[in-house]
Amino acid sequence: MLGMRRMIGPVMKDIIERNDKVMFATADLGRYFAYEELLKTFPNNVVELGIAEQNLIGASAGLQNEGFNVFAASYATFITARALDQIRVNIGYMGFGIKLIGGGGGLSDGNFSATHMALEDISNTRNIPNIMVVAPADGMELIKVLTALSDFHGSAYVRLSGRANMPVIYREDYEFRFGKAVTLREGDEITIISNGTILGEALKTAEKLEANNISCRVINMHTIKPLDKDILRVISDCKLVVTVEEHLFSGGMGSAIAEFYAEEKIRPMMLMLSVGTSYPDAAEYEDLLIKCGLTRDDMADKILSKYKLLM
Amino acid sequence: MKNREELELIAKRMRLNIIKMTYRSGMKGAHLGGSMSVVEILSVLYGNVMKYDVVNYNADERDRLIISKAHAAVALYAALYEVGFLSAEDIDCAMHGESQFFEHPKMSLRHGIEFSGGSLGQGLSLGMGTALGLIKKNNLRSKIFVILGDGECDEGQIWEAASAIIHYKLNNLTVIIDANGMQYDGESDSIMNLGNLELRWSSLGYHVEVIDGHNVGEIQDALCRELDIPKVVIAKTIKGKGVRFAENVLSWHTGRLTDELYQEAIRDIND
Repeated sequence: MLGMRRMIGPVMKDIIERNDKVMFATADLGRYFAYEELLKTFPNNVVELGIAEQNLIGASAGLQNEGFNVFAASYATFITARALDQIRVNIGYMGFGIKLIGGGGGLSDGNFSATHMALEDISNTRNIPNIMVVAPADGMELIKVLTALSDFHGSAYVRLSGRANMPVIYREDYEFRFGKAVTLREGDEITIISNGTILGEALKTAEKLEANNISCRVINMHTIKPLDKDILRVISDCKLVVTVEEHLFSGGMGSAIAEFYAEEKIRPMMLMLSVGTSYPDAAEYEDLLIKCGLTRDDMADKILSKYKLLM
Repeated sequence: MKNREELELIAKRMRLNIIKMTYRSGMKGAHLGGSMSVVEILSVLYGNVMKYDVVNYNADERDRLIISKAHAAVALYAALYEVGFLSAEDIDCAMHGESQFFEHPKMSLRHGIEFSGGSLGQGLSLGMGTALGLIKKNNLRSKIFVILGDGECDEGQIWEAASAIIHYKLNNLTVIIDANGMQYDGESDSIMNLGNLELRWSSLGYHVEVIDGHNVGEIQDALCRELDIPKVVIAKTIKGKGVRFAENVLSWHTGRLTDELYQEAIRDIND
């Protein structure tokens, strides 16, 4: 099965077939995103800029200004760290509706070392005005996100995650809307909120909790900005809200949710599970998840410990 | 087509307005030095070279000007006033209070301002994307002019865009470098020596011309030269040109004018 990154080329090709104002721009990572068929069929809609991420963003803004809808793709960490000034000036300040696609979100490309991990990308982008931040959970959701963005005038950062063996989260079609979280599993004592492919582990964690007689809800907060505040209010009466993300502890989805609850009267206890507070050494993705405790066993343990303290 | 005298008169009026805006900005001051050096370039661009329409300001056939060295804002405002994009009231209110016309320009097509600026090194990328977009839309007539500072050429992103422009054969784009030889900390050669700028740009594949950046005739010839490769015009200029106490003086990168200095500046320009 294709991982998210190798779906990008084919999906963009379909989108461009329907809308020739869409452009796919990249900084020497076209093959990484499987753009070969796209390049062959619509060469005029592909903009190759070489290993130059700052120019990738700036040139995309120039193209947007001339009426094109640009999807600019590179490694999540290069786009959101190396070219962050270009993002804040062109998108945050001037408001250009560039769509950013970040491959290798979280730990997925961690065999290439921390230089290729995206561990503060959500933190960096959610603080920039005018940019929506979305982390699709699986292939079906990725297609819905990209398709919706092809008609959307604003800017968005799409964070890819997982690898070729990513779990299928949606087995049936569903209604996707930006900013509207999806409840994947019902329950009311504990709520796990997550985004991206790590939702697969989150769902397995919920099963383990159920086996311990704890009713556990799982929510896919695919849009980290804007957060779905309605659902956060609905679930606020549960005993514990657990956030799970392939991101450093601070600044990502967990922090965003904590910020929301900080100003609310009804404020559930939270447990923020994450990669932690430092960069892991290079390793295979599955091993990194184990090292960072982002597995069903580790997470169930931590949640149970916290839950017992609350009782 | 305006003649030499008319272009020089525009330049003189621009300098007077730059001084007035700087004076009115009060304690904050303005980027006087780098604004004065680009005056003739703007006078020629708006006087004779660029296609624009104050009424149909977003017409696709317009030429696009990107002032990447955006701190020359007061010079841009002075030029926009000359051709009618800014009103007398806009100029009077600029640089203080509630005005939208501050130290770095804010994007406003109806005021003739193509992009906001202020973070150096980014304008050439905007130009590259614009030039590519125009060609993709089959608009082969509109031209793009990007004004860089020579100190600004320290920025790596400039060279990312510079390669891309040649790679994509964006002949509709002209780079103008306001080469006044100075930057914030001192003379550019001693702050960060970029070697032979003419050689550097021509080695990338550009047609490069070095001219006197205060000679309207030379500026016009260089900008109107029809070529089939992108061109760079290195305009040798004097930072603070037109006001003797500011010419080539480091502290006038930004400066505020006292009453006495204001009067002296007006006298200098009028002579």
